[in-house]
Amino acid sequence: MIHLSRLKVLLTALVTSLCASASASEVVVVVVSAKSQVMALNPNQISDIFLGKTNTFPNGGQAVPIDLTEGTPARDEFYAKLTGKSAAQIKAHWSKIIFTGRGLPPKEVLNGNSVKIRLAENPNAISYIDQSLVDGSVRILYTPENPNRLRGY
Amino acid sequence: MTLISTGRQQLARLGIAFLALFVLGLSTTFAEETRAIDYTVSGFGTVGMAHSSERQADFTNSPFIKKTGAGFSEDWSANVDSVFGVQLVANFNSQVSAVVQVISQQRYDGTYTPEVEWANVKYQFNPDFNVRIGRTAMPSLLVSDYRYVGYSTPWVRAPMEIYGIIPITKNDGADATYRLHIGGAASTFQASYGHSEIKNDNGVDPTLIKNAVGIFNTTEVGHAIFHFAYQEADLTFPLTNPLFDGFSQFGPAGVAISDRYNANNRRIKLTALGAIYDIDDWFVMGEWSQLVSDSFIGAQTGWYVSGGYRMGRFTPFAVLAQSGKKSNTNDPGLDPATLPPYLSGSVAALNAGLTSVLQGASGQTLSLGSRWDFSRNVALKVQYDAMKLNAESSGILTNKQPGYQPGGAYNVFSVALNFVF
Repeated sequence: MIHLSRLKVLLTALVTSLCASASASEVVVVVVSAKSQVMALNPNQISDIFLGKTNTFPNGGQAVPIDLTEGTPARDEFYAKLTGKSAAQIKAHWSKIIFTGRGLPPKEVLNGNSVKIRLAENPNAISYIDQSLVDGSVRILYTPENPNRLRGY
Repeated sequence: MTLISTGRQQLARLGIAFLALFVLGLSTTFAEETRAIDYTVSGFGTVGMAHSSERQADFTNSPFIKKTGAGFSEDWSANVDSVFGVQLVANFNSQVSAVVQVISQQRYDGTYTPEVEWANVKYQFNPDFNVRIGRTAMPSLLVSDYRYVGYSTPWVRAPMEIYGIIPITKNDGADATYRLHIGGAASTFQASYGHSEIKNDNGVDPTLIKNAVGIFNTTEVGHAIFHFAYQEADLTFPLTNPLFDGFSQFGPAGVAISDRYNANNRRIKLTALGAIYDIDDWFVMGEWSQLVSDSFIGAQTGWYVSGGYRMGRFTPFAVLAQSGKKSNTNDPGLDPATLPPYLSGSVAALNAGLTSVLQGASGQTLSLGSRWDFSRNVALKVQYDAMKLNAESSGILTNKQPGYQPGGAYNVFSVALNFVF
């Protein structure tokens, strides 16, 4: 038993370090304001909010997604990990919705600090930032994993 | 609902629509200083070139609305797929929004005069229920309401076996949309009522779609999307009037043929089913549709299956499509033996015309191509289509020349650059 648990610790350490080195540049976390009523969301619920499939949180409150601008590495990483879709696929998805008048994509801000300002202003807002920017003003709802490889449409 | 009749009138209307949006925006701004109107401008476009091996007729992506195409009119044609669209969305508050979309592509008169594709005001009663009044595009098929937004689709153009034969596209009227959430699935129901008009060529009355009612459902479950549509309308299709007016001149037998087959205010019914399964690196999709009318249209069916595989920035795809006629494609027409010999030539021409319209679209297409997302918001596509028409059918070809032989095989090669902004 001791032997097995030690092996498990070793393996965990190994996997963790591998993951860390694989994505050392960006660890994106999904955040809301520390004042938000929302305590937890699963990846599908987050994905539905950011893809415009719903505009409410599971508790019924209004959900206001905030995106980073197109081309931001953290944005591409967020969508790749959460939805398995590339920037081009996300753009194609929104083009269908925009040009049929059914909706508009999330508002965009320039960087993680702007995200925190928006979250502080609006407790209904939800966004994602680099883990290094996390402070007492925000609450982490989810840390996306499973990086996907680069894709076109 | 008043219908747009000339390009100039259309531009004037567009100007009025924008002015209305602006004035409405100003007044709301003054009335409620805390909330500004939220305007969003977006656009899309395709620069395409297509070549057809059939030189005695034209191939185009919208045979009901375009004047020319690749083949007879042009060797390499930019008119087949090229389009440019701009859209303005104004959100007045969380309930009321308006959308105006103007697109420019070749029209029935050969010009690129911009036309209003969408112009409606939406009232959002709650997050899952809204009503729109104005002009919308009908969601008859999976991609029909965004078929000109090439960036949103895998192909150069939506499969013509079904997208090319449905005349009901725009709707001037009203619709209501309700979204139902069941477990992890989202099911969207839509009902619409309205009219529309398709201008043909100079000097020919427009095609009229009146009292169009439709019910539509799109259900998303996991990686799958299912689509269903049923529509009915009164169709008036004046392009075949000369043929049936011709028959009517030949006494009761000719009048009977005209009454049976003409498309003046005839009920038309469209049923369509489709599905997409899209997961990670690959997608498959397919659609089936049937257009039924108590006229020369009879029962026109079509289907396609398509799939693609994502390899980095390249997405090669294939499409197999088929169209066919389930109703009578053969009518002997008038018997020349019952008429004086000097009329036999005209009767033969009328009978040939009847045979031709009864054939409808009937044939198969195999398409192979690839999309290349080489840069942000821009995609380049190439596509090769091999068409095989069934005997007597000319498929979706237009501008058929005297030397054109129906029932042949031809191919089309296309290159298209799609962009969105």
